[in-house]
Amino acid sequence: MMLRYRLAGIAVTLAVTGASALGAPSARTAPLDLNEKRAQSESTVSPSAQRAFETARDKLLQVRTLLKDQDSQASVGSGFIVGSEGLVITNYHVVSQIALQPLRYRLTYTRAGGSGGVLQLLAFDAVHDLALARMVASNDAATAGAEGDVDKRPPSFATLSFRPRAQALANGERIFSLGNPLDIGFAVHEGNYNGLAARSFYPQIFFAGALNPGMSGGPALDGQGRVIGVNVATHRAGQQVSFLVPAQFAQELLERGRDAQPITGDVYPELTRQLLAHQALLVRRFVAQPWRSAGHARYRIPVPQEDFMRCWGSSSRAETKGLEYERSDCEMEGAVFISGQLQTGRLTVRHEAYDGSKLGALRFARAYSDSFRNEGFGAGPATTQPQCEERFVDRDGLPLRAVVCLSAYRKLKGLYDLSVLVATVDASTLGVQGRLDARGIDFDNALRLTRHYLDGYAWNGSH
Amino acid sequence: MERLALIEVLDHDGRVQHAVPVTHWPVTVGRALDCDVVLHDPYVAPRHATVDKAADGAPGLVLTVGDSVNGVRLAQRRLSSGTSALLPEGVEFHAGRSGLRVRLAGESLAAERPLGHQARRLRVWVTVGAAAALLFWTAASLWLQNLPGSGWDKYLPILLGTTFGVAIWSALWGLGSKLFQGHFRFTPHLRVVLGFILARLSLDLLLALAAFALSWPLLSHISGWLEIALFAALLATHVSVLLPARRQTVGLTFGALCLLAVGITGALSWRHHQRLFDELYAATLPPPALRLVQAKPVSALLDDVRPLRTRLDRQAKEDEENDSAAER
Repeated sequence: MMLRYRLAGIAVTLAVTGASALGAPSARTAPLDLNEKRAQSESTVSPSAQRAFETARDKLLQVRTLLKDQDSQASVGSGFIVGSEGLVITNYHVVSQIALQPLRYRLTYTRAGGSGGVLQLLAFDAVHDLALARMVASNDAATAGAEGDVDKRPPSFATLSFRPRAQALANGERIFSLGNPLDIGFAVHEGNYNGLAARSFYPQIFFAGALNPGMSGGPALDGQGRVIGVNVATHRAGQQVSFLVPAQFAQELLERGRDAQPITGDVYPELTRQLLAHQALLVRRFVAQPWRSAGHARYRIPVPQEDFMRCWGSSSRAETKGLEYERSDCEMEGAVFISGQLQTGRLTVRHEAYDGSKLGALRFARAYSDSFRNEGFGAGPATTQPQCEERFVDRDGLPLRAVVCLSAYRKLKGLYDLSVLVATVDASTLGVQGRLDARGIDFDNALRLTRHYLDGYAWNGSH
Repeated sequence: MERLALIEVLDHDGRVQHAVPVTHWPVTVGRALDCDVVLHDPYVAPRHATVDKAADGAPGLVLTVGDSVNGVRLAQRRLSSGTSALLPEGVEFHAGRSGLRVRLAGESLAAERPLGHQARRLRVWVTVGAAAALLFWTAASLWLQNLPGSGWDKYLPILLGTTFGVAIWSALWGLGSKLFQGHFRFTPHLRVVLGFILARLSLDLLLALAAFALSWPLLSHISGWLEIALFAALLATHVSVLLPARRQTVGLTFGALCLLAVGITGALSWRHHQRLFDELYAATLPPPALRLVQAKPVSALLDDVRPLRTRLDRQAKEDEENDSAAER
């Protein structure tokens, strides 16, 4: 619509790709001189951080996605050994390239000792951004180090164990996140457990500590060296505001995929299956919630609950001579990462309530039309171009102009992106325009959400 | 001596370049100095043609082609060397690249064409009215755009810009008139451009309002195509003013160009958006009093949406096949 701004703060995932690695040197040149740095590290790295690193060191991996025919890395992340037969947990987004384009990439690992090999993808949970892989010792000179595991016998690996689910962590408890930040070297980052992140659709641990690109998929450990979560994302706007996938989802994936055959074929059917389950849950929970009131005198405007969405509001300046507005933007914090180009499975709802009494009917009509026109439909390469239907819709006597646009996913068959635009058309200098976006939902849910959203509009009781 | 006839030598645009009085028959036409009508045209033979009274005192003239390679073209017919044909009075014939026409004494003349003071006055009023309407329209749309209480300085640049733009456009076409017709004609072109701009603005507005009033988005979608058609018509009209004799050819040419442009626009839109029109939905929301159709329950909209599924699925499949074909 006419007045847009970007919300601060979107979680970013932590795999290093070519583009972000380019940014890395500038991070190195942070204005800290060497002596200061040394003094700082001596005072802050506690013996328990040392212990955590020592216990985890030989169970840590750097996970590298290499181009098929050369050794250039397309992205790097981290991982850790959870099964003695060489089973490794990492993030789905660390292995997404190999999963989606197995003909273009290969997946390798490097251990802290320098040894390495090939990783086979066994299972993934895209919704929680986790993947399970198996280490295959390799004689490949390019990836294997000089020492260790290149052996004909089925090797047995030391593993990290999970902290029992029953033992809840206390807020403020010290935890340690490990990985290989920015491809610089294995590292331990110390921070604190702060419970679960608020307004997250799936539980995510709020880790007050630094996570850097390249640490994706690395473990977060408690004081006893047990896994409590998996590094996944950091907050773009924040400092030391990071997120971990709770360990239970990694455990479940491990149980589910322990005996699986390596994935070699098309992963889109499985991704589709997981996304369908995700959107079924998401839409069911969303539709079950009643709308909140926007507090408008004339209209009932649908504003979502803030259980798993975050809403920001803004308004025109009080002294404006033109169109007055109040705006609300609600969106889900996270989306399901499918590939670098595609994140889906999320909802956004927003509206703008306009008052044009200072403008008069004609000027208002113009500004109101401009706002209705100024809507983007960013059809990416993953979906078809949108197709729309539009109508005047009656909501208990309140006339609305409603436009419903849908596009279909090409490879994720049966999933669609939905946009519903609404404008009230009952008054000559007053109106509300709203928009609901749902990415990656099935067709029936698109219809259900459209109805749910439009039903949220009506005259206000006091009208 | 009695003037029997007049032979007019015409330029490419059919205007009389010079005229040669005829005092005796036959009249010879050619490049040679002893011809009665001397043509300075390298495609003309020294003695190219002869025009004579018909034999036996019959009325009319006879054209005989002399010793010429190129012959004579008379009303779509080509007469070769040595042939003769009846030459109707007042009909143009061509020797080489020169056009000629014979006027006979005693011809019946068309009535004097009035200079049309009345019509001219009307045209002036139409022009002034159209210019005022355009300025008013521009000011009105600026008024809509500007905040209440904006000063005249918000209006001036665009109003002056519009005025100068239209004047320069008309003047350039006027220069075209000078080129093709020998004199600078400003106001006919001004009238043309004013007319088309006003037509475009009012059609755009009417279509947008009608699309809302009738809930018929197609009316809004087609305005892009209509713009192309109007622009083609504008150019065609300007060119027709330059070449009034070729009005039909000009109309056909620009009509064909317009169809081509609309076709290309539609094809590009189809290729990029899988729809014929660029516009995705009708966005103009005029004051609610203009709405003529009833609002329907939500279920009616959902009924409209349901059929999209097959279309989208088919499109997704096609896109996917194209993608995988490209990957291979």
